Amino acid sequence: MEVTRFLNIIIYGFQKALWEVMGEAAIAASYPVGKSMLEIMKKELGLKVAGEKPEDVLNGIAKRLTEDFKIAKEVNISKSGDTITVEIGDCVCLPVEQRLTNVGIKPFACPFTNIAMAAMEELLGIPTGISSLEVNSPKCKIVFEMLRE
Amino acid sequence: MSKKGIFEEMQKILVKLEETTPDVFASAIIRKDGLIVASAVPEEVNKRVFAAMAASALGASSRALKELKQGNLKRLLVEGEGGQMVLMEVGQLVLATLIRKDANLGLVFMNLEKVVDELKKYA
Repeated sequence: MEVTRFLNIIIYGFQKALWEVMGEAAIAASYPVGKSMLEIMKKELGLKVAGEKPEDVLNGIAKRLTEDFKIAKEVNISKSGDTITVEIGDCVCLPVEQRLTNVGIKPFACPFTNIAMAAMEELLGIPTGISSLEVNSPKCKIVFEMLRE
Repeated sequence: MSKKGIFEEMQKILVKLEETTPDVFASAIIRKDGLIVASAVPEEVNKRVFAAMAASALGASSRALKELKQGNLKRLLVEGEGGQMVLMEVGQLVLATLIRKDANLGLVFMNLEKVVDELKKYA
């Protein structure tokens, strides 16, 4: 647990620094971060993402992250029109997100969000942005907006 | 207007810009979170990564100007050996253009300002 806490401090430090340097444009890093994470997780951790609908892709990722990697206890996904709402309970990164929102920074390095964005684009060709990310311990609520070019 | 309709309108704005301003050879409208909403860029360009870079460059430049107390950013001009890139902020959007290295900058900037005005209703 101390290692998790230490890693969270590192993630917090990086996010806060990026925010200070780039402002809200730091959110633009979400996709490249997710793309790199997805590549490693597929190559080294055997993550297989499949599906023809956004919910299928996101549910597949959620299952692996909760059951195998145990980064969160529960993930609930719902879709309405062009928006997808994801509620994550008891995520190991929750303290980072909480700390960031406390100082007025929009969290942009949520592992689920970043991987999901990259997977949605890679598998379905749908660019996705984060409309909102609310942190209400012990849950995070992320709203994705699907954007078709 | 629907989201799709807005994106199509923006695409038309870019096409018109490139037709009326031959010195502009590629252009894109990007959200500040790095998503492309309309683009007319060469196929070999990874648009998604370019959009993230453009948004980041504009964000960092804007922060630097504020840190140095020089007011809001008007435009970011990046000169390369092969061409130039201009980034302009329009609310939550970024207008990114690639222009020829020997371009008439005065004329280009004037036309870009017109596009910025047109984009304000979507920003």
